[in-house]
Amino acid sequence: MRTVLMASVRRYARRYVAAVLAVVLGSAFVVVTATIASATKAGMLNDLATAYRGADVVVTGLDPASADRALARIGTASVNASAYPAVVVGGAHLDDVAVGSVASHQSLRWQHLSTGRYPRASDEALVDAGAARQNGIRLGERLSLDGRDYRVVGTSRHANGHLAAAVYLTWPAMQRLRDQVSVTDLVVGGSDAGRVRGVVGSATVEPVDAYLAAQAKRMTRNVDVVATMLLLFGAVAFFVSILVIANTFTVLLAQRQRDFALLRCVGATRRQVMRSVRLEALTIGIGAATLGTVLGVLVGRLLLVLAGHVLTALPVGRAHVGWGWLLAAWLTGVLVTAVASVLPARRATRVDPLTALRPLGAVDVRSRAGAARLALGMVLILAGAAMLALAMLGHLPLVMVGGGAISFLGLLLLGPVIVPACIRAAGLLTGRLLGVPGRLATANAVRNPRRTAATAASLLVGTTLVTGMVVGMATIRAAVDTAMDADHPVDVSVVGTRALPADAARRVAAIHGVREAVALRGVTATSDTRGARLGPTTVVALPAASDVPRGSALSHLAPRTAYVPWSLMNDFAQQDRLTLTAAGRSVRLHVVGLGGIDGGIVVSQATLRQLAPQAGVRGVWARAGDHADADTVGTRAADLARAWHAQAAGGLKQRAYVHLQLDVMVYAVLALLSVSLLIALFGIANTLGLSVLERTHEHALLRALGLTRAQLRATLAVEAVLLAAVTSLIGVVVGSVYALVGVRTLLDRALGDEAIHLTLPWGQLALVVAIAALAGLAACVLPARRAVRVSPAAGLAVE
Amino acid sequence: MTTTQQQTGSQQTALAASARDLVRTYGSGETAVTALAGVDLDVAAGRFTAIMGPSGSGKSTLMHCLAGLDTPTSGSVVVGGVELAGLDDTRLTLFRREHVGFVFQSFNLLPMLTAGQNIVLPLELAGTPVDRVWLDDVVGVLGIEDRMGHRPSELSGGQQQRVAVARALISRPDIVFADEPTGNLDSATSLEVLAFLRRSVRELGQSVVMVTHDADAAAHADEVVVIEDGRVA
Ligand SMILES: Nc1ncnc2c1ncn2[C@@H]1O[C@H](COP(=O)(O)OP(=O)(O)OP(=O)(O)O)[C@@H](O)[C@H]1O
Ligand SMILES: [Mg+2]
Repeated sequence: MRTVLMASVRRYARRYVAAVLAVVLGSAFVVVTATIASATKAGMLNDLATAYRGADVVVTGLDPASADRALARIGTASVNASAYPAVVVGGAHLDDVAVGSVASHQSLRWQHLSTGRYPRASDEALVDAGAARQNGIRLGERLSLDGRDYRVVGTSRHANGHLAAAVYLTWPAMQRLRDQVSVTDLVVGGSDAGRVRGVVGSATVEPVDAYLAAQAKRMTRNVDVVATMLLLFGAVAFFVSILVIANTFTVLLAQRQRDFALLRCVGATRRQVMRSVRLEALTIGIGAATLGTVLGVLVGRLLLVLAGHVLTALPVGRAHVGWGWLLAAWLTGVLVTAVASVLPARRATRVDPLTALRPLGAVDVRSRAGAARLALGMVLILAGAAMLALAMLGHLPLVMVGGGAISFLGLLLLGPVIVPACIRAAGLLTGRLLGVPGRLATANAVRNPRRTAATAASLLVGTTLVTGMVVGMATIRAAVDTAMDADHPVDVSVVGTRALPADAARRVAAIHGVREAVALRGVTATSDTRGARLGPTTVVALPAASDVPRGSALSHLAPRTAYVPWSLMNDFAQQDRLTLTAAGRSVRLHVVGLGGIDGGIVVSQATLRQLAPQAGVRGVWARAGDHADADTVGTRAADLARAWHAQAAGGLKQRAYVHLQLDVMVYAVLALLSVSLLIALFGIANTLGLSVLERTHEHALLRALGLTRAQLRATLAVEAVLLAAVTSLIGVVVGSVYALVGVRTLLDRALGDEAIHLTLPWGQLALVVAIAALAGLAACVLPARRAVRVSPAAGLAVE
Repeated sequence: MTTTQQQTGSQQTALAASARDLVRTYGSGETAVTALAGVDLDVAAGRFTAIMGPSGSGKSTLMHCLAGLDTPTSGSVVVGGVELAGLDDTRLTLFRREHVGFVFQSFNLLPMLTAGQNIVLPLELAGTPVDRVWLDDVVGVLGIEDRMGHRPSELSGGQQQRVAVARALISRPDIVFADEPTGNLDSATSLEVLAFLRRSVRELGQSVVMVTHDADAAAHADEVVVIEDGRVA
């Protein structure tokens, strides 16, 4: 049998392309994931070690006061602390700027200087080079942190790690931020734990090695969690691989049934034939898995080199992928091939020797889904649906995953009924539009329901997951947007303590990306509340009937009510009473809203008229267009604000940041799923190629009867597009249902009581189908080219 | 097409097809095989012509070249007054669609279409409406009326060949080519199919060229052309 085996592998190797590619991609994915995880771990540990370079002892569990006391009593020590103060640079508010500390002892300073010098005085700051570049901060510039000014005296090389920040201050400077500051730890150089323990009292004192070991453990655990999640996508890819490989084997072995029967005729036992087929599968699996593992190592290396140059924010270190990982990736590849080939091999080798003697044309090429299979499919779908319903009602994520898997399995089992039926329905349309090629394509696409369903299954997995992801994220995005409308109703605000030019609103509206701007009339007033007098604040009137503010938070203010800005939030609570006084006139109001905006108390038009009948323009609110670039809008608004001695603020950057985060997540998941999609598409191309090969004689016959080359090409293209588009359409529907279940199960609580509405991003969903259809078209290019090249006479000669 | 029909009907001596100095070689260099080595042949219209010869003599190749299924290495082929040599693939296809019918030895039918759909396929491809009367006529003559809704796998070999004959006749082509149409059939069924071909020549004025190496089959023909080693013997 060995000669038969070798000859088969040689002869049919090219037809296994999809199976090989599926295994290669799956194995490579695992190795690349392991490489990146290992590099990230190494990078994190490296950052960690760098940040504690000069330290011998680490003290944790300190508050700013006790840290300060300890510092005074230990010679070489430094406090690592962090704070998130309100940062203003050149008139513009910066969001989420982390402030960290820089040691005064040279031996404990871990930041590398790029330009300038380290800060010494308590009004000097060191800025991370990356943050400086991003925010346009230059050496010598002034930063305002919580209203106090600091001068930038140096920039440091961009760093990562848990002590890294955008701005670094000395400990005395940091202490001026007071209640904002939280102490990470206190590091001590040139001492030992025993001596330090005597000084710090109840705080935890550890030698630096022990501390770093504990930290490293925590961090690598986080990386492992992420890596495990990445490997889930690898599992999906391997699942799709199994579908593709099994289908490839089924098709290929079915085509070779006569070979097997002939072997049986000349005396081979069933066992021998079966063993030969299994060995063939194993040979292919081993070859493909080896190729995939090697490819994974190479791609992993390449990605790390790229990441080192492009993604400086990622902690990338030297990757060390253990043999265990490589072996696991390789073995999985081999196993997947072996498992996927078991059923097709058994089915194909069950032929009786007589089949060889029967003419091929007499074998019925149609197959029917077995009744048992259909019944099982129905049961699984119903059981899965029941579990999904239960999961939604009880918010049970695990039940949801189980229900999803079970119902999807049921769907795959029902594939031979569902997919051809849908294709036939869609085929009515193509038949009407394209005539004979359209009708032939439909007939070809559904003639072997099992094969059609098996081919569709792999793509169905991918499109369902993609749709679930896309719809889920769109829904989350809509919910987050609603929440953000309440928290940040104004995109851009420029409000000053003096009058603004009369054309201020026009100038803001002229900024590229701003859709609409409205002037705010206002006045400077003093406010009294809870028996205390606050300094002069700007009071502006809510513009009448404007859709500049988002959501409902600022759509209307009743007379005698006030909306208090972010900067005064600490002084007020909801329903507080306050009195505003300007030029002898007073109004008594109560607070109905807090936060969300910057720059001035907002009152109604009527209230402002009472307070200051002649109030002039004090500010501008603007709403950005949907695709505005938050950074440029922010910078341009800040430029205007500086010129007008006003301050620019607004929620646009925050909104853009949140959108970016969501987008990154979507794209990351899509990128990870693309491996599975790619495998599925190779599967479609391969099955199509094999079917075309199988139909050479038919094509010749059709050509003889008058089908032109163009028509034959169209027939194959329509068949591929029908299969891909209809499958992805089913995937989109199923995926949307799963997304609904997922949102109801996972998010109904997380996002509060507000009812969540499933948001269907029609454009993106149409894109999923369009891409699948295009990919189907691409998949048929090669097979079609081969098919039309065969002359009718040559095709008829093929048995 | 109708005019052609009338022409062939009125001019019994007209040619349905002719070949001049037809050469077809396969491959090149040492392994080159000359399947046709200069064939001159005239096929009279409205006649049943049989091409005979030993296996490997070039019968199928000749038929493929005459029918525009294969491109000869050199020489000229004229079918229904049209010189095939000058036609590109698409025009050749359209020509076949309208002027030529085929019956092959086996695998004549598309498995996913019913017998009826198979029969009218050439008309569908040409976008020509089906002439119901003619269809019923042909199907009736061939005795396959009750089989029209069946798929090829549900038909016997003889029934399949009869469906193929019906398909070849449905577009009233200038000429029908049949390559060993009875090669896979038992003698009784063979006789039936041959009788139908013969009838289509006699009663419908159809020109038929049949390749066979069965002398009994050739006995049904009006003329017999013998091919040996790629030449007319
Ligand atoms: N595609 C091909 N490549 C090379 N040689 C070919 C090819 N097709 C046919 N031949 C050769 O051309 C010659 C004529 O073949 P053809 O099929 O015309 O014979 P035939 O008379 O129909 O034989 P049979 O009665 O067995 O069907 C044979 O020698 C054959 O080997
Ligand atoms: Mg022959």
